[in-house]
Amino acid sequence: MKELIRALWRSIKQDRLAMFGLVTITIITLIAIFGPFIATHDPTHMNERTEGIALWFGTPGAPNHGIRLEQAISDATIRSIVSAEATPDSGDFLAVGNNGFIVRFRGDERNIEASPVDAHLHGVASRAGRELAVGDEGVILERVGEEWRHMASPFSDTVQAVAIDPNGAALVVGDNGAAAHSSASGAPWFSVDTPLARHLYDVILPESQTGFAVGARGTLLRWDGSELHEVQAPGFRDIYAIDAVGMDNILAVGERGTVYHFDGESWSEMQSPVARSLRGVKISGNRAAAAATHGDLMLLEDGVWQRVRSGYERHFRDVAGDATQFIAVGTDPYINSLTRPSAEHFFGTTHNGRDIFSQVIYGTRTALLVALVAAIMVTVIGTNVGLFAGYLRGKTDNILMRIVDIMYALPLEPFAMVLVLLTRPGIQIIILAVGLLTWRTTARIIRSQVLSLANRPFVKAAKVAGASNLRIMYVHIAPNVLPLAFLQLAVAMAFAITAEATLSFLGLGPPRLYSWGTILHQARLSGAWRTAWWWVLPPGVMIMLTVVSVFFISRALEVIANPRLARK
Amino acid sequence: MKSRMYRIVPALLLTALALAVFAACAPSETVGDAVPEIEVLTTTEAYDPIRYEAAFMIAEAWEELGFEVNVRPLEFSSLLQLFYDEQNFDATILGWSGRVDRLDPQHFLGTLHGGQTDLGANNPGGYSNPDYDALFEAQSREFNADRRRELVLEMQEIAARDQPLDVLFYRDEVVGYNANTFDNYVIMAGESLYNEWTPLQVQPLDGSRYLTIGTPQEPDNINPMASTSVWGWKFMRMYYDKLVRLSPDIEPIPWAAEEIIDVDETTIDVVIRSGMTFHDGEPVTPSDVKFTFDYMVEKDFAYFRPFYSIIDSTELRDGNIVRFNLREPYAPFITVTLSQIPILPEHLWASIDAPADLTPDQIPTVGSGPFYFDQYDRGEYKRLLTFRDHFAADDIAIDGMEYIVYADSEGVFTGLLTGEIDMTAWRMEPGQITIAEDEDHITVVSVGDFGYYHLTYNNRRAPFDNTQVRRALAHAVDKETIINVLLQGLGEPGYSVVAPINGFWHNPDVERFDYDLSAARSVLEEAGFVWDGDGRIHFPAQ
Amino acid sequence: MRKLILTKILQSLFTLWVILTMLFFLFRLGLPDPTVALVSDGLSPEDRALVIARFGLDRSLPEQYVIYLGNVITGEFGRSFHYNAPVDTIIGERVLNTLILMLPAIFLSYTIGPLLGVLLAWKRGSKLEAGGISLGLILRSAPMFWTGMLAVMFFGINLGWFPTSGMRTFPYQAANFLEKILTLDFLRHLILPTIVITLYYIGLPMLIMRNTMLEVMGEDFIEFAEARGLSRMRVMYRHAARNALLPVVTQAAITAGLAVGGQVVVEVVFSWPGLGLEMFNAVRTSDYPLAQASFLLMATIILVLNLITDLIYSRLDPRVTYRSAN
Repeated sequence: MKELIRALWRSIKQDRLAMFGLVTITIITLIAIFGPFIATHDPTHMNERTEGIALWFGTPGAPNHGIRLEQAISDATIRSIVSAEATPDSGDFLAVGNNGFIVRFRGDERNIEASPVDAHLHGVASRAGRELAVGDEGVILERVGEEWRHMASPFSDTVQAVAIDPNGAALVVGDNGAAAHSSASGAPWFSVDTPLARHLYDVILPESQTGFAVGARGTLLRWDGSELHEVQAPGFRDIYAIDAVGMDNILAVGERGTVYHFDGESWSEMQSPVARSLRGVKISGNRAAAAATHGDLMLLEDGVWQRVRSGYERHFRDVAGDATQFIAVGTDPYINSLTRPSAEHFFGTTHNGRDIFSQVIYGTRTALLVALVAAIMVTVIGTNVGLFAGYLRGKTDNILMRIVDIMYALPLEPFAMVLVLLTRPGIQIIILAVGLLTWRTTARIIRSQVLSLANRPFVKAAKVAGASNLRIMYVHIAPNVLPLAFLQLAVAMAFAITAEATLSFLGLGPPRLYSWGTILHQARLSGAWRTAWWWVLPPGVMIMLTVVSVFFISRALEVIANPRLARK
Repeated sequence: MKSRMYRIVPALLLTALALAVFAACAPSETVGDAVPEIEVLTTTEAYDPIRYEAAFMIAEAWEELGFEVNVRPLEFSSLLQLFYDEQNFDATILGWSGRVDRLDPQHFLGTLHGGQTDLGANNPGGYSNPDYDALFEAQSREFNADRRRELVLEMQEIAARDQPLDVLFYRDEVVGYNANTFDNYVIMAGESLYNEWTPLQVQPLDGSRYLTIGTPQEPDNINPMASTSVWGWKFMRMYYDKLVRLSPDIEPIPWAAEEIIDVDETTIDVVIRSGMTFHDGEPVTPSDVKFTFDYMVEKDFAYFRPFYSIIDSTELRDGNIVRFNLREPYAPFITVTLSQIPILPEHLWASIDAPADLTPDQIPTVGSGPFYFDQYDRGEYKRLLTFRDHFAADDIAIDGMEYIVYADSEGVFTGLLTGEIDMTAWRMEPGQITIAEDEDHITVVSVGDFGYYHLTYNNRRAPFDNTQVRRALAHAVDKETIINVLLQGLGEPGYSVVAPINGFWHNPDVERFDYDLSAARSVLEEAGFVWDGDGRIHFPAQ
Repeated sequence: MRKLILTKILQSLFTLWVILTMLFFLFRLGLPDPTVALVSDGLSPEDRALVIARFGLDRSLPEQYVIYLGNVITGEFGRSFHYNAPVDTIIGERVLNTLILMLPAIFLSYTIGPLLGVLLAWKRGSKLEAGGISLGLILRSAPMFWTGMLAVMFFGINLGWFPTSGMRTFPYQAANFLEKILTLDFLRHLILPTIVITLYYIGLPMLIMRNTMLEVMGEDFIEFAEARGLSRMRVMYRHAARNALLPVVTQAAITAGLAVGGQVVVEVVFSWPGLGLEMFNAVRTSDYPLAQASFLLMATIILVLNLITDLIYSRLDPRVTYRSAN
């Protein structure tokens, strides 16, 4: 054994390709062993990003609707935006978001304002000299002078939205039908009863003491200055946002592209080109805009909604605007999908935001594990069958070779499918499929070697000396077929790696255990493989590198096993 | 060194044994056993990445509650076998597809009926509630739609309260078409673009004369007396006529029938449209219609049996009338039976004794529909040509339709991107949606579905035999994230087996369980469950 | 000799019977019920029983086995459950599709490959040899589904030079299989997959050829020929190569035989309607008749090939045959 290894080392040293193979395989093995330390991410984790963004769009006549994205205004979601009508400078916008974030947009300036709370803020209003922001745990903030103050609140449920009427009276609504009213700036808040204990998501007061609140399951409530009355909505889906110009032009939007319109008389449903959840709506002059999740926007022009793809997979929360443009804000956690290689993700990400580098690293472990276990299985079975068949001959040989014939007759992929259906997908299936179907070659090769060895004088001598068959096979013959068995081990390893990748590519791979074949399977399944080269190249290159390294090493083995090939 | 090791080992073993005995005996007086590992069955990633990923997301939340969960993805047929035939599962994620005949709530409500809990039947979860069952019987017998609706809404309320299963979501059918080649596609709930009306109404934009459809699905066969797959029927219905067609709004409209007269609750007269011919030139007569229904009954064609089994007899009457005598009143007779069964030519089928045994080249592919059969290369290609003698042919703007078969939905998507096909017959995978949306020549259509995906608990097994556990777990399924992340936002969270798209029968006011792990925890706590030091959940003490 | 052949044939038939029996019981006991999908189609248990009876699955297992065995002996392979059509027509179509995909690639590999092998043996010890060997091994280590994806991505989608899937552009008119494939359009569809398969396959014949060439070149008669003043080129390709060709030919026969089963991954990547994918799906949907017949077909081909090579090599050194069999 020692001699064999020494011979192998000598042979590898003489062959530059084999040397390359050995070094590469060593590196790959180290990667496999230290995989969890090398991997930068959990390979199954869907990496998300949360940030406050603003997206300008809907500029009439501009190419591509004048879409312009401003990223990272804050590191938390911006949830609500309104025109800052309370301030004299027109064209200002006021927005609030998570962690008490308050920002004022003035042209290209962004003024972040100090907040007395760090609760999430859900709604904001600015009108008639009054500015209010509301949020989690009943938080109500009012701007007094240059400063935001925390007001006494009549409840502790989440407050979702606030509206101010032309005279400065305000109404807030929130979870579980919470609602409260305050008649003027600085005036105390009084709870208002609601007919349903449902979540209310938005409220408007287009005219004095008159307006609507909307909420879960098509909840539509009309405000008459003292009470909220239930109104029959044209549908039952969640309504998330409402906007109005006066009391005869109102739009409400919600779940699954729901759009309702109120013409002063009655509510009706409008056709919507967006099927996603609409989160914000804004009417401006004879136009309107709505913003949804997954970067969907739509514009209402000449009475027809048209879909606008922002091109950014961001979740919008609200929309505001004026005659020249609209601004959509967001974004709740969104999947960091299909990003190119970067310092954060060395090989980029998948469509589900998973880190490809980490998957490739973990894939190394699967590949080597399968290759090793399957190849050992193949070599052990194959060598033993070869020994028995070749030495004992006769009936034993015949039976064993018929079994080999049967194994040759089974094609890998359908056979693996049979195994999967017999039990369940898993790594053991792949090992079993490869193991059961490859020992046949090893058995044949070892057998033919044993056949010729059995006639050699040393075997005959052992027989004469009275050695048992088993002893002759394992003590006298086996060491002589060892180099060949090692060669077959290498060949089987190379085959096992390819076979594992193939079966995983067909979706028979072990669930949740990344392998290079699985990565390519997912790339194809997702449809992104055509453009996401960073997803397709690394696993394939790794398969190639590993297999070719084994091939290179096996060349050096071949020289030992079959000295006729040695360089003369 | 070695000898010391030997001494330590038995000591350690003894300690471990003692601890194990202690752990096994001591706490049993105060708390129950640990809840055994729960196995969640789901599809493989290749079959449906959504159900596969959803299972892991749900398992993660349950684990946070202290359950031990093992997700087991299975090949689809193995999954069905364990679920339906063996009922050997803890919890399974599967789905019901929204076929037009399931718009009537009968089928979906029936999947929770206590009478369908046998092996191989539709209620493998084994939910059985006498109140629910009584309402089910009552609504089956109720022919007044509004009164029936009351019962149907109440049943949904009971189901939501008892949570025998968690309706996860209604997934939008997202398909796409090439906006440069045709417009005026028809969109139908449950059928999306690939419906009976699209080929009749599309208008070419660039002179294309053939509407090319890409699909990964093959008809099992095109024998109208043997096909048991949706894909067989979605193909054949293009060249066979039916007495009634369902309009894009799913209203029945007379098609090969001129008029349908309800003589009484069990007698229906159908006046056959005159002047129709089969594709071989023979006229379509009332006798062909009577023959078709009699033939199906006589040959006992299983796939259609639910539709025709209600027919007691058929008779020919003067004035091109075929009369159907029903065994009992059956409300969906016109919408379901008459809209599903194709009219076969008597002169070609009458002599065939064993229609199910025909080889592909023996099958008469002659119908009377607006298209006629032209070519079928299995696994590759199919073509139908416009039948200019059909009564609806004047409005058809194309010369025919072609189908290209791909190995998988990836192939179909490539065909759509490269312009090889005009429309897809099968939904896109979620990953493909955003790619298609950002492609200029593709219009993506998202249609609500009235089928649903469900997580069915085995109501016979602990801990799912406990209603409180099921109600608690309902709080531990983050449907919004599943929809946002896995469906690209194109779907709706589920609350009832009758989908919101099925507006008349859907109950929007059923109890909902928001995603809230602390709420789930307190429901479990109230039910007497306790957690041990490792956070593992235990049954209530006996 | 005749007796030997007869024994071998009988042995093969016996092996075939063992395979058939094994598959029959493995499938029926191990695979899910083929009619279970009907439940999710909404079929009631009673209606499903009708379908089960039509498939003959209501009989006892031994009864089914005897019937099946009898049918197979008389050349009757039954009807596919899924397609409701005779299994032999389905397999026939698919085998043709697969062969027309695989054979050109195998032909190219086994003509170009050995020629390159001779060249490598000739340029022994040079950089060219080392490079050639590395390239051959690298090509053999890149999985076909990956190179196929890259080829479709680059030449099919980015450059748009070749169609990305299927066997032909529709619609087309063809009276028979020959007419279907003797078109320029079909060639265009064939090019990408052929290149991908050829690149993968070419390494093996090249390396086998090189190795046997080296063995042959050590033999006396080559030296003798060279001593007679024949040109090096002539010696290499006329004398040495001819003697070294046998193992390559054997390997070519084995590869061609296995090719009937197709390459599932290639068929998936290029949407090629071949037998490999059909077989894979037949197992997946528990279509026993179709799956059994395709497995049986594969087994028969392999056994026949084995038989032939066994007979040819029964007197030769067995190592030459078997080394290349993987």
